Amino acid sequence: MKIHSEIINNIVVVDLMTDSLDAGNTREFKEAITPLIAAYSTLILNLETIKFLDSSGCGSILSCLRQLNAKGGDLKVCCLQKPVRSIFELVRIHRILDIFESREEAIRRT
Amino acid sequence: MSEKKHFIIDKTIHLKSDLKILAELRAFLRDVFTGIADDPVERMELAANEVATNIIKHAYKNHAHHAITIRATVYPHEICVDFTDSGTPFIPESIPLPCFDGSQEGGFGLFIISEVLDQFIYRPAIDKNHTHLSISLP
Repeated sequence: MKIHSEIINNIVVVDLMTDSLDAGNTREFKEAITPLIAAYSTLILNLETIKFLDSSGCGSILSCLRQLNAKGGDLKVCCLQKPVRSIFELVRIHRILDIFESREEAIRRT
Repeated sequence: MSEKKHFIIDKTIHLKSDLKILAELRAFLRDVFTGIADDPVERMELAANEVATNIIKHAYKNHAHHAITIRATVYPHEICVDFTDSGTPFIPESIPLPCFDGSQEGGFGLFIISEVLDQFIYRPAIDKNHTHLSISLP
């Protein structure tokens, strides 16, 4: 999976370059993001391009959160499209993740 | 029951038990359900994606090249998707509810299916399992 990462004040902002995060590509997502989780404590995940997210995609995001929390860091997400926000609310992820409307807001408030 | 015979669109696709087919499945459903409001179509897309994932991961135990038949139907007042597979049957009632505190990374699939659908019927069998999903249209 192609991702774009940008380091801003020791925070890594990850822009996903795909339109879905599902059971068919979560392994690739984990492979792409694992080195960034190892190298940085705070990660902002930009989900702007994601039109479809399933339970496996939610699980892979929760896995990132747990790994970062385990080392004293944190995961933030931004730019959710409506179907993504709906599934976040369905599985209550919106209660345990900081969610921002825009990439800029996420960076400013992290 | 008579209304069930009067479908508007009825299409079937045969796919292999590989997780890479999920995008193809969703594209097939969007094509069949063209012109229907976003909300029921997005809910059906999500539920069907979860059912297909369960069949591939659990019924077929991640072994590719098994067959899954998916039939999508539009009726005047509902949309339906029916799955047929030959994998190992499961008992839906035996699946526990997921935890929502962030401690669990999996186990949300069946919960999502039950939340977004109006009807979910699973009929396990030794030779063919049938799964029926339906959502009423406004």
